[in-house]
Amino acid sequence: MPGIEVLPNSASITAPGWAYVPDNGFDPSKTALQPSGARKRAARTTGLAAGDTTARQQSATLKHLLELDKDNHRDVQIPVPARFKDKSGARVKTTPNVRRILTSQKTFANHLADEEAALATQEQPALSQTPRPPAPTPLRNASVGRRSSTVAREPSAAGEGQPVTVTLHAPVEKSGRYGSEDVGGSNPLLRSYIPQIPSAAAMEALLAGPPLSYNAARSAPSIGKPPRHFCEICGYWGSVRCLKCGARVCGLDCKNAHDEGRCLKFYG
Amino acid sequence: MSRSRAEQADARLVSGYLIRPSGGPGPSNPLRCTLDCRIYLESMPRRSAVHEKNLPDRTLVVDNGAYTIKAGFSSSSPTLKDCHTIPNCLARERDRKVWVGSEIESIRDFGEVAFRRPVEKGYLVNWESEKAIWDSTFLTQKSKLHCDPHDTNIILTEAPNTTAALQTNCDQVVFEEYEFASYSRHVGPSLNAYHDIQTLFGEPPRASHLPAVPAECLLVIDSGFSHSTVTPLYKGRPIQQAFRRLDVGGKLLTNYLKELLSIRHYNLMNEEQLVNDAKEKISFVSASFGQDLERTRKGMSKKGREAQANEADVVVDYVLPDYNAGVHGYMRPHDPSLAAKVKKMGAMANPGGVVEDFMTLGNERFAVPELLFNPADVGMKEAGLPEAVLQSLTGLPPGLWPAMLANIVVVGGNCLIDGFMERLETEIRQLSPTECVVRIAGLTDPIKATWLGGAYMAADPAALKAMQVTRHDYLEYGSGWLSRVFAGTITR
Repeated sequence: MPGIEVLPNSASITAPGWAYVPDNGFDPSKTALQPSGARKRAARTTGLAAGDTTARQQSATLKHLLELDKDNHRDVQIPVPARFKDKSGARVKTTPNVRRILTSQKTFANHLADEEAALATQEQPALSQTPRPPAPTPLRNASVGRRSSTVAREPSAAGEGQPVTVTLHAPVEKSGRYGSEDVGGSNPLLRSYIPQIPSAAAMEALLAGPPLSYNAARSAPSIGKPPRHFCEICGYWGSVRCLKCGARVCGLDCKNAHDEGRCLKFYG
Repeated sequence: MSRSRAEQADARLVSGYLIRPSGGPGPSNPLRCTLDCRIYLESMPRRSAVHEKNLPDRTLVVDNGAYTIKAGFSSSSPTLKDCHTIPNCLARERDRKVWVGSEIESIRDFGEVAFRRPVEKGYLVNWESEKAIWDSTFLTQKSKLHCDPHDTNIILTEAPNTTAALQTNCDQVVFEEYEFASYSRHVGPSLNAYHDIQTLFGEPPRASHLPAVPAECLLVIDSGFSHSTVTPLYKGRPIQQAFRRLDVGGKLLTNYLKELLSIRHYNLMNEEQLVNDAKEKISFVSASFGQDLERTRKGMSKKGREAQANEADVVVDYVLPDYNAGVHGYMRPHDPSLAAKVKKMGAMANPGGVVEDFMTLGNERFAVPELLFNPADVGMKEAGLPEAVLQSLTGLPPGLWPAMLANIVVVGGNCLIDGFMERLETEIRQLSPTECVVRIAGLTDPIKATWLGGAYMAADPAALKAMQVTRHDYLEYGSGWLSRVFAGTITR
């Protein structure tokens, strides 16, 4: 394959890994400043595909998710009862560390921000930012082993690569069901391709990998699943959208109930 | 024949024992080491003496969950009866009285009870309140779990991907405040590897006299109160790069149900406990979501009403608890007759008599746990649990996929929801490669399963000794060293 090399000239800036490109993407901040049309609704949805949500809807969703994550609906401060607090002088040996930890008012969000800041300052972008490999979700019809890598594998060589102690409990190992030898024989089309078990050294390297950060371990959004909408009153499919606030309802009954109490947009 | 200790030290100096033995403690700079070597040798504890010191006999296994603490002492053959469940929260009643830990079980009126939980998003954050709960659980004389920390080993769990600062806080409190004799900290789900996994898949049980060996390849799905995690394990050791987390747990489900009920029936926004009970009793995971949604439609058309009458198994009445009479809430088949409606109206009209109030629940029953499989239904930009499993597999070499998919174990309170296991198995089966066999198993008590795994692990004294870090070592080498030991970057 021919390689493409950018020759440096006086106009280009030699910085590896990035380049200036024209920004054609949708920018909500610009839309807000320069409405493209007279109609408000048209302005709100400029540049959005059918499934996309507006900035207002996104912030409403985020707020809703935060609500769902709360321990109590109201904001309450529950102090530790006095009987569990140390009387003055009853304990003499509290170490500075413990005193600091017990009096700390940090929440998890604070700790998370600390961790993210620490990771950002580290000189390991591969570890801190996106340690997740960009491999796609294996689909149903994707073979476990790629043919190109396993066709060359000889039955005798398979035993050498793996350590003797590794005996997997998977019944896949008993390949009789898949008919690798009995049915297919030497026919490469009918052979079952079971990928090789990693060697002991590879397993050690895998186990020694550093833990992911909190955000990197979050599961990625699923691709290809269309969003589902439900009636916010009765929970049935929400096929009708409220023109004022964008909420979904299922029919006229629920639309009336929505208009009475839950429509977020009031015209005064 | 036998030389004095000073002579021995001199002999080591002369024979070039200037740089500390590899893996051991001490200054890492060899230059500095040569300078204060003599001091080092004299102040260093005799390592042989440290190793000869035996651990105490008592071992406390603590699975410090966000909703409950699962704790108990391990024995040579631990059972679920040894495990005690303590609510991990402070609760404040309407009259501003605050209850701590196991005292909460004595509350009778849960109306408007507010909770304070030291574990936030699965991670132990607030030690001020946690200390009150631990004190009442482990240090109070009348508690079943009372122990003297100086004479007890502790095995503690943490959630996957805990931040380093929180880990250090935990280590410091365990050793400096409670002063446990020895301590080890584990990623919670990894303890499940010590169960007899092969029995779950129909193999003969393992020999009872042999120590518990961790399962070779295991994929643990832990769906708890704060979140649901997927953790692949190899010989009991976590493969950190492949951990995945879905931020949907029991708390989010409860809050979602609370919201739905408040829109459709009564305002229950301040009734945490009531809605949580209701969720545990009514919810199920639908095998065919769209079909069930049609069945519960409250349409006014004749066809819709007929469908609702035919499918009485989905629509139920949930009778609200009566705290004054000490009656718990319960579920009963829906009574669509007019008499039931009139009775309810009458009960609301004259509140003097014995009132029985109920809510008729339809799609709330399965729309709530559906979030575990489709978090996008509330706008969460994450994939459901089956897809998270497959995403976790992408962090592993393909050679491990068959073994992982064939050994999936589900723990955590959410897998007690009806239909959860079947749906999970179906969806993982649909997503995974055709060549792989998918086997999913649940344990007898999924809530206490992690504790029991830890207790099996602690039952083997040799394994326990290899794992635990003594307080002496901690005081000697510090918390930085300890966190590196638990991270596996240095071996002792």
